[in-house]
Amino acid sequence: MRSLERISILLSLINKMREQGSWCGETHIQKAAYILQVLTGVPTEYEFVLYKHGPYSFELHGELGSILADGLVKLEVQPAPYGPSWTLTEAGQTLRARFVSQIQGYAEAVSFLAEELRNKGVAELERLGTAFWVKEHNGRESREDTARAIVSLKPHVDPNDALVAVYGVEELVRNWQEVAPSSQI
Amino acid sequence: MKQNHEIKDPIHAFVKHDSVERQVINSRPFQRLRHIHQLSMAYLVYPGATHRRFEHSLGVMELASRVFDVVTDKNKLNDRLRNSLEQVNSVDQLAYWRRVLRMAALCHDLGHLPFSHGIEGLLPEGWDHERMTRILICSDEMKPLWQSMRPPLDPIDIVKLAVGPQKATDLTFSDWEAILAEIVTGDAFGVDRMDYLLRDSLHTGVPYGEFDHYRLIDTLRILTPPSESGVGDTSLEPSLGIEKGGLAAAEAMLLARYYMFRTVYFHPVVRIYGIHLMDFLFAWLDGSPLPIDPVNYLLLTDNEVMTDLLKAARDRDRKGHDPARRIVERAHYKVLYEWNQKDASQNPRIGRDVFDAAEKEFGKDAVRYDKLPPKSGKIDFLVLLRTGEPSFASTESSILDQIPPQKGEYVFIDPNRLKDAQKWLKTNFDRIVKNPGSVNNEES
Repeated sequence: MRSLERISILLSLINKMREQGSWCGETHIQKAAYILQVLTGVPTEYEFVLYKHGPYSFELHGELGSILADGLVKLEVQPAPYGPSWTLTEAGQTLRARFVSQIQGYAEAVSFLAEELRNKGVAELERLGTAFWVKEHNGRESREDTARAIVSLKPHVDPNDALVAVYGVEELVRNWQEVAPSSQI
Repeated sequence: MKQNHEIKDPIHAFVKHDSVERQVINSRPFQRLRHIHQLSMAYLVYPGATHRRFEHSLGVMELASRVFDVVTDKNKLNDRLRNSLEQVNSVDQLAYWRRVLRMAALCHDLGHLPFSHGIEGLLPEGWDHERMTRILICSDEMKPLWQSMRPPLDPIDIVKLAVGPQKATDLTFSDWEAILAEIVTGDAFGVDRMDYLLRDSLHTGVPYGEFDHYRLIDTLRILTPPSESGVGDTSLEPSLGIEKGGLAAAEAMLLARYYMFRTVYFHPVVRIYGIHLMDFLFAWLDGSPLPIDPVNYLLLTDNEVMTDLLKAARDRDRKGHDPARRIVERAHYKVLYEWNQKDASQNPRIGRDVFDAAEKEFGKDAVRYDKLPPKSGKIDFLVLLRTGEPSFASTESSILDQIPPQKGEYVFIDPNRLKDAQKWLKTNFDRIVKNPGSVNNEES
């Protein structure tokens, strides 16, 4: 994927997440970008490793720093003790609008994910992201095995919450299959 | 026989180590670092910057164990962390991991190429110095040293902490390992960064790199975060943070980082010498990639490269004569375009677009492009308030979010074409900046 397309998708994702009322901290963006890749197949091609709060991409972290430096996004500091939120600047909105037609094919996926994840907090996203990670890497295991794998990777996660996350993955997959363009399933 | 040793160091006074660690210091892969400049050819701009990876690596080891001793002090961990990080409750486990951490810190730069970062682009696709570091730590030459320690060290544990999760993508990190890797490689409090800022500042004579690392280290803590978002529940994943009392020292370090990148690491003349060096080596190697087998890799240092570079600079029939001459005679390319936020907010690939257009206009040999990943961008970390509650640095510090992120991106031109190129750019810049990606649709 060309760098301008990828930046446009990232801007579009942040914009949609804010529109849907997401807090849109870096963790929210990281997990949303990961699920966007593995669930909907949008080829942003960020390399993810299991790290801070589940799947994490240093490359995406760098890209966020890059568009921050370029003045396309800014950080809104929130009252203590909460972390900051990312939002588009006027220049970011202009660039996003300019590339809408080039990334039209991914608009459905971005909107779907922003809506599905809008009210999820960091811990829930950590569990959901890690559940997707385990599914992607361990394949077809039972729900209980997947939940156990989540806890072994993230020992601070409660086993019951891990199982809920496995159901959450299945629900997201079902919901995406209902709305996805046939070419993206 | 003497079991404890010390090496005099201009930053840390003494770097202390024992006899088994001395064997690692005396090993061939580590001694090679005596011949790798820490800042590549920055000494051509800052003449004092002739320090090497060797002393930096010793310094990183010294700082790593200081941080380890502070953050694993049981009195500084809350009950939840004492229960979840079982290693802190075992004297043997603590001793094992302290040694692993020291060795990882000592060996984290083993795989560096001649002149450090400058020529990594000449390795085969998918290779970098961290991958070579991993190979060397696990090599037949180093393995017996790990085995001779009591208890023996698993080289994979050393690799994990030396290169971190960003580079060891095939390895899974436990919470404990992720925290220890953060001590070496972390963005906010990594001791690699602490040492290079202090050391580079001293040797370049650029005083902005100084900060109170004693206070910073003394106030580091392992913490669990509050809710990042004010919605939903809170992750209990632990990471490195700092007491509120150390926040000023942390701010000073991140400001030091900002100024060192701005004045030293992103200095355009430092960057262009690195490009001329790469051009020389590309010719020197006949276009082949650098060797990646440990035997040949270890034979290559700055000294071998510099010997041939000086010969090539004097003899126009030698491979790489032109770039070698440019380095030796200080006839380097000049800046035609430099990244700035005003342009980038209209066209995020403006540097690349200017380069593509200039290359079409002036030819491949006359133009060079350089881009570094953004630095001094958003770095957030946990802060332990005096009430005992955790918070975020972005909330507690009124300075951190004021540090502007910066990018190092340049287009350079042959000095003989500079005036023409400046005139050309003035005429064409508006068209280039307003049409992102239009010059060349290929990926950068």
